[in-house]
Amino acid sequence: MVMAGCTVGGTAEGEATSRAPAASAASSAPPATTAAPSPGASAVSLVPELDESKQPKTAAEARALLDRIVIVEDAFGPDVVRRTPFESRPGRWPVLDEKCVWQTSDLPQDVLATNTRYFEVPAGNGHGRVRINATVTVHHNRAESGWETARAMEEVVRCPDQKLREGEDLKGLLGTANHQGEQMNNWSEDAFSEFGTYVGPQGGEPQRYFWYQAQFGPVTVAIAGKGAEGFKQETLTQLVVQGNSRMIAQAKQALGKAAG
Amino acid sequence: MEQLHPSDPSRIGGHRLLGRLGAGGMGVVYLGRTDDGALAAVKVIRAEYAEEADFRARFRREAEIAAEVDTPWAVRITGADPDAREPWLATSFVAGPSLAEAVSAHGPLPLRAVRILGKALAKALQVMHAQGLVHRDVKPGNVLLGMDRPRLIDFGIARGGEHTALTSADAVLGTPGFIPPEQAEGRPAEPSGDVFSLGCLLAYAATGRLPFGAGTVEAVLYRTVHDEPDLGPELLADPELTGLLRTCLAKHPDVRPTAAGLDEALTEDTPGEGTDWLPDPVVATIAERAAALLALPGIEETVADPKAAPAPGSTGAAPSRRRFLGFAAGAVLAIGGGTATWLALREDDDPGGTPAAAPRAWVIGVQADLSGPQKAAGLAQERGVRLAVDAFNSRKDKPFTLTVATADDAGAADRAPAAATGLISNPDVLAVIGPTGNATVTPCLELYGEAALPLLTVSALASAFSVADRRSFFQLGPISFIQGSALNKALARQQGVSRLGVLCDRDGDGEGWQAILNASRTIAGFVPGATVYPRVVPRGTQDLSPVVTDMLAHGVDAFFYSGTPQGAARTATVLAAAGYRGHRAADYVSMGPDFLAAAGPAAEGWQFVAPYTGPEAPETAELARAHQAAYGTAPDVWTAEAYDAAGLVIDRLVTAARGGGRPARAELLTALAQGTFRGLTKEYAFGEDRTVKGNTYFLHRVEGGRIRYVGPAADPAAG
Repeated sequence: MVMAGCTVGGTAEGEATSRAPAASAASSAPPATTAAPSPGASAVSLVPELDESKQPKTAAEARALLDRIVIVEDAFGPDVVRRTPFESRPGRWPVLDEKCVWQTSDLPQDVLATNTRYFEVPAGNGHGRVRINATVTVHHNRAESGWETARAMEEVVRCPDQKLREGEDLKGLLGTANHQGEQMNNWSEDAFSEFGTYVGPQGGEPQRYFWYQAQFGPVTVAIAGKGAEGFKQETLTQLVVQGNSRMIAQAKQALGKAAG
Repeated sequence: MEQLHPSDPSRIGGHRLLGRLGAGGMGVVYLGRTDDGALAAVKVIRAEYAEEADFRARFRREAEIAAEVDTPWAVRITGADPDAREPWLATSFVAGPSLAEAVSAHGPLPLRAVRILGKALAKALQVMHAQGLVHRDVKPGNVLLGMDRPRLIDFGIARGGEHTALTSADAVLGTPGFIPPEQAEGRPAEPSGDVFSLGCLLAYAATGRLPFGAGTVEAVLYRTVHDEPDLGPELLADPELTGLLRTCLAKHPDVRPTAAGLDEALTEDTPGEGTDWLPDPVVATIAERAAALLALPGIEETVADPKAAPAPGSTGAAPSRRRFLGFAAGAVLAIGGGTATWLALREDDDPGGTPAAAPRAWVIGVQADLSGPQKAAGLAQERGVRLAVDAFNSRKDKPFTLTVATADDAGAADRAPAAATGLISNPDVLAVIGPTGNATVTPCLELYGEAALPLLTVSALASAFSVADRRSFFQLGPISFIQGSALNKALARQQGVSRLGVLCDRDGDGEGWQAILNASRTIAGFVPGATVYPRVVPRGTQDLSPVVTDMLAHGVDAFFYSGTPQGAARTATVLAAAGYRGHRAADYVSMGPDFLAAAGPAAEGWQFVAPYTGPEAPETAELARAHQAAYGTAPDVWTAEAYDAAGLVIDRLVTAARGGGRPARAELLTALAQGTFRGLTKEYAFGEDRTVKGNTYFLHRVEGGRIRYVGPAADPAAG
């Protein structure tokens, strides 16, 4: 599953987030080592050991854990505000159907809790509205997180083009996946990202689309970002990395041995 | 050896000078021959040092004491004149390579040799310390490996005392990485400091690495003072030696054994006579150096030299004041000659400005995984480079002679910088072939980039380096994930493909996933209408059968697996059990003996599209014969590609040599990026990013329980 949040079931709240990440232009985009906090720091791991005893066993425990990891707008800085609605409908899960169109369903068995929050940089200063979604998903254990990422990867292969909802499309998705220690990933157990282009209901130029996901134990966190005309890609990347870092740090703090 | 400069004297104190062995801040070391034919190393101290208040008195005292040092494990003082305007000191001359040269060219010594060496050097220090002398600069560059035995050179004489330390840090400080913590903190040198340095030296001999790491002087000194030594895995096999070295490397001098104690603790019955205890390549180098002495001017010429000029000091100091100490040239006798530097002359002293110890060596470096997960590939590449160098050196018209220096990074990211630094800091290294694995690339790119030292990898073909520091970095094979489309092209030819099943096993790395993605995105371009059925399994998935069975249920008629050799074998086993008859292919990282062994008969028919040819490739037949002759086996994969890489470097070096001489590293870097080179396996030309142009791949297939080379798989981009 490409993670993020998807469309929410049919109501107007649907801030279509796909679970796909994003950036743009598939063919030329470099495999994303971009999310690494500090290139060259590969020798230093920022990933603590998982304390398995802290893994949630029930949906209630998972929701409590999730509350410690989700972020609000201050994680991004002053330019980012909440959208309305702010959160996804609880208990729903995005599914990419046979025709590469995102639908929702009930939570699968291996998902204890999930939440997507919707943010934006409002239009102004010569740029359009920039949408950012932040998703946290809690499983029972690391293996289930691994399968969530595996399904997301399958979806990128199966559907390079995906329909978020009527009038909103992702095109030419590519993805990269690096375990801890691979390339410059020293901040999470597994880092998966997707990038491609996004075309919104108003049409216009295709924009960049990113999906940056990181995993620590039974938790995956992800940020989706959709660019807008006039908005610098570096700025968007920075926001995406910032939100992702905050969430994964909170996950490590909640579940790591000693202090994360 | 470098020729004498016009300003050099032709004789000093009864020695006819034959050439320069080295030069540094404190003076020059010459190779000389006495009138009775013995070779000697004659060190002349620059007059300004002799002006230091108590320099001459100290020099005289130390030289007198050193002349009394009588041990076969150290070179002998054969003469000295502390009163000359430029004081000089002569010792017997050893022809062999220094320990530093031997380890950097041929790798670490076997542990038994380390013990034998340790015993010999402990004996030398024991005698020195008994005379009240402290060496102060025990390091691999100060140990010469001679035909008869190893010897410690440089007795700490004339190195300057605490006073000089303030003005000439490099001459006095000793060598970072080998000096003891107390000396690093500025306290005076004691015998226990020599034992510490010897511990560092032996650890280096055993591992090829410094126990306190590489890097800036400050960082190394800091670690020397504060950190525990890192002795590395090579020493694990000998806990007793490891324990002994740790005691030598104790921070507190009182904890360390004495030189005599160390000698006693190293229980080896062979004391290190001759060269039997050394690895063959080192012995060959020693013999080569000894043989080179035959070319030096002999006694008659020396005696007959009509232009015998006075020694530099003689204009100001009457010959009668010249003092000869313990002159015993005939007895000491030197086999040996060497390029090792001498006394306080540092090997790394300003290679750009001051003359080097010998005619500059032309060296190709190899940074390879020789002891880690890809050691087979690393060794194959080292051999490819050596064979290319041997072939070149055997040419009659060669404009220079090449040597090879290797550095083992064990495929580990944290060891790559030290391996790189070792090669970079050898000023004679002109280009480096390597590294072997992807993990070791990023940590050393900046180091090579800064040094403008060309780094040419044949097997680290990840796409991720596209955003890295590529100032010095060349990739000689196509980016690995392009194998996906190359495979598709081959499948299209083989026909019968309508649904490609791709399985990404995340026990493999991110590049394997990229290959899966590449295959998935390009299959329809080669086989119109073909579809893809993808599956991905997380790391650690042992049982692949549910996923493989699911793929078969979805009607796949071609199968592409990416992950590990073991995972590929499990996949093969499931497919064979299911009676699957369609195309079967795996990422080339799975190709090799591990896959064959684990899959057994299920391996039959699997194919691999790889950036390397096979040992049976007709275009590399001659190389295969040379390999068989040199190593007794057929070459492994990657040998031919490394041979080509070295061939490319040699080609550019020869061009430079014809055009005026030895190129600077940066000039070679520029030359490598330009033009083309026809190797055995393919033609090499580079794009802007210094990745080889063209996506040349080769097809391999398992037949009869063996991996057979099928032939070139056409360039997918062209198809």
